[in-house]
Amino acid sequence: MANITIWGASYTNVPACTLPKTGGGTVRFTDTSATTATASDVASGKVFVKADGSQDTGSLAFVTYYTSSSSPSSSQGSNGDIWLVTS
Amino acid sequence: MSRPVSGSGSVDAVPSGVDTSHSSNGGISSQSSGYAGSSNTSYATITATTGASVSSYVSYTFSVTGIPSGATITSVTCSVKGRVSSTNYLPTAVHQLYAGGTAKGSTTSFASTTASARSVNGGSSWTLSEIANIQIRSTVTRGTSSTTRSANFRFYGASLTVSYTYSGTEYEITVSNSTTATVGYEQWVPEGDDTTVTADTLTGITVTDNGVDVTSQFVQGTSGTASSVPTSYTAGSSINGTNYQSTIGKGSDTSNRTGNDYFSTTQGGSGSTYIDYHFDFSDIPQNATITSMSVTVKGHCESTSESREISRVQCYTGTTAKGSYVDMTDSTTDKVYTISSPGTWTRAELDDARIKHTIGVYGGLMSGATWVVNYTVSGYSYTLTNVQADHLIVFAPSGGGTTALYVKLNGSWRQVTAAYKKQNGSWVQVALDGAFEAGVNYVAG
Repeated sequence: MANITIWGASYTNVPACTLPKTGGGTVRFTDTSATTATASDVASGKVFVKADGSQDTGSLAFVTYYTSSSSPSSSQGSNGDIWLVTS
Repeated sequence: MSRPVSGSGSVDAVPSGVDTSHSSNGGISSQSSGYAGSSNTSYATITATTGASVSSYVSYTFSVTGIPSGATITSVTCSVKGRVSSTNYLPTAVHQLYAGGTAKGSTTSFASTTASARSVNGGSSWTLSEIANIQIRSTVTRGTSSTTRSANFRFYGASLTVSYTYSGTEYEITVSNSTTATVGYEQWVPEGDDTTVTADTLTGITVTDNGVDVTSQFVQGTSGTASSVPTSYTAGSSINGTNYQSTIGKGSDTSNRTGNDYFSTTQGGSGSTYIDYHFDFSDIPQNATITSMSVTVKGHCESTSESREISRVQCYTGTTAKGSYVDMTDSTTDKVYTISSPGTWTRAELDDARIKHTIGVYGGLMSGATWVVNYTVSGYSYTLTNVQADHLIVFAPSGGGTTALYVKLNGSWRQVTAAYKKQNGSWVQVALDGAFEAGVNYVAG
């Protein structure tokens, strides 16, 4: 949320504004100053917007685990994955 | 498993004990039985036996149970029933609630010779520890002008109601060994508190913070008794008669039952048939060891002189006979028989426990049966680590146990029998306690 002034008119607590683009269409600008996420909070490879408005890429890694009543086949999963056989 | 909870409730109590150590100036006699509430009709007599203006008191203790730990007490109300024996010689008979030695609320006095129940103001700001030591004190004081010592107060009883609210997190922890044992215990834990769970079958669990970090636990051995009466039946072939259909399921041999399973065989002079009565022992843990059992049946025969009479009862697991049988052929009226040697049983055999009632040409009659099984569950211990959500529990055993890993699937905990890690394109089986690593994030595939 931000307080902004456009052509002398003041607006308070504005979360975002949409402006016309040159050549047609619109573009939305959003206040991201409240963002607290860092790269380690966001899944690896995913792009997010930081508090200063710049973009960054997440680095949070997950290991996938599978559950099944049978053993895994070699075509399933990726290196590092876990396979749990349940009763 | 954890979930946020909140709510309210109340518990009622009547005095369960009495402290007369402060009645040295008087005495207590003719004690009522349990001081069972303000509707009681018997009473204790509290007498101030010495000089004028001398006080003496007796404390009646309440045992208040069932309030969740972390609850907030919202009100304490009490009603006490009593009467004075004389309005001249015993001018004051004062009652007040106490938390240990601390007076709470305000006093209520009795001045009438007619028994009545009166409210005692419990005040506010009670804590759980105070509730655990709550008493009502009955204080009698002699008057100043009397020379007689016969005045007394009759205490009939008191009723207490404690109301509370609670807000916190409910944790349910299921402990299992690697085979079939399951011991469950549910405990209210104030959100954010450290709490030690104590129960007959589960001690030493420490639950900290909302993430449910269970650091250790110890499961002790248990024992129990299960009693069952017939829950269903299976009839043999060549059976004649249907009375047994209306008797099944009613069958405690110690009841005043008059019905029975009268039936007979349609075959010739040497024929016989039977009814199997089934019993349900599903409440006995699957890892229990059966230590002893007693089996009694109630029945009789049609004729004690007929050689073709058979009315025999014996324990079975499925179609396999166990132990010895008993012939109910010595009485033409109902009699309780004991199957003195029902055999040695495993827990699995109890899953299909039956009593077979076999009859010959002449109908035998059976009114009911009661089967009591005593069992124990062996002790075992675990150290529980890395319990951080309601999705995964890793058992790292100590004291001779084995490792077990559980995963919650569709709302139910399932035991993991094998774990694999994919390395260099191949799945490699790994130890259960090595499948997951600290500091690594996992997501279901």
